Amino acid sequence: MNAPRIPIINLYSNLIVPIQGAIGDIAMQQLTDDVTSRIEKEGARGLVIDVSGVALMDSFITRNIRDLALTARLMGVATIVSGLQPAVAITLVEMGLEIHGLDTTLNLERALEQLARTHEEEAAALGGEIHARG
Amino acid sequence: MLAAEPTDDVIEALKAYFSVPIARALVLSTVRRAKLDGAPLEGRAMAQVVTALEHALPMYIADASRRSECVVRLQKLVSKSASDSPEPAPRSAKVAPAPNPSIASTVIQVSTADDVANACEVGRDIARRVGFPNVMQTKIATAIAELARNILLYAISGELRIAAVDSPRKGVEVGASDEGPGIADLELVMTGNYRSRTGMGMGLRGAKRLMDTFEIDTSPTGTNVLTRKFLT
Repeated sequence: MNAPRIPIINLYSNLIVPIQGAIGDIAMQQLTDDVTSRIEKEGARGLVIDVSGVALMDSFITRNIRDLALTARLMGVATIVSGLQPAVAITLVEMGLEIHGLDTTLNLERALEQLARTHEEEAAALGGEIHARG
Repeated sequence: MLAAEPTDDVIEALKAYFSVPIARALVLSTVRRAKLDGAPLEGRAMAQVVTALEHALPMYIADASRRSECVVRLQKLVSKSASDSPEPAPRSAKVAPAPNPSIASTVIQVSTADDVANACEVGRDIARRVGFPNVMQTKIATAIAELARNILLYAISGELRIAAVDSPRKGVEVGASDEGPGIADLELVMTGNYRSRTGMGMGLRGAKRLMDTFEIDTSPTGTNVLTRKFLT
């Protein structure tokens, strides 16, 4: 299977991964390798996995996306899954798939807003600490 | 054990037209629907099952001459069974209308990840043509994905059969058959306390929750799943 690579976009130090359509095992493995190496190389502060182009998420795809998000978080990168389609969200709930510890937002815009807030809070906390010490 | 089932003659007759797991799933579900489980398949019972099978055949065999050939074979079983059995086997004069031929029934071989994606597309398309709204189409396609993925993970290869049904109600029927090693502890898998290495241990249970009916028959020689979702 010669699956096209999923693009990874760097925007304001956040990596954005737009997933479109069906995603196979090989593409998913490739994506995990690509995302983690780009995080390391580019010093990304946030990761958004946008699934607004995915019309169907079964337990396999859901697990893979969750694992990618948890892996990135383990590397210290705030991670958000954005844009779950209504039918997909309804289906996941009905199946009883619980996605523990995963931040989600309505769309990509909200995800970037939330990441910006997180980064600001981190910076403020860090600044306050330096201020308190000095 | 399946080898000792009285349905063997019927499966044997269907073998020329279907793979063995599909034939087995079709016969077993027909017997179950006719509420003849466990009863010896002879005389009136055989006639009943064959009549039900005949009505179902247009969905499975598109070619008309192959279909009538298959019907002849099944009829032979009925007359053989009637002569063997003291009970007369009445032939039903009433013939049910054939299912809507414009809506396809499809058999999909599943042995690669691409086949899984393809099966989902086909299933969504059939669900749409039956008249299911978008959310229901997604649920059906997702259930198909789970069944197909299960075949791939545990049996390496198998078959999916997706069909529009008219009775007892309008809807979609999805059958999955494989000749894999079967599910050792079905109860554990279905209760959701099981987490597999490869999935979330949710595949079959997820499919069951998404569909209206769910029947599973598993043994060390294979697994058959038959599941339906109704429009209303």
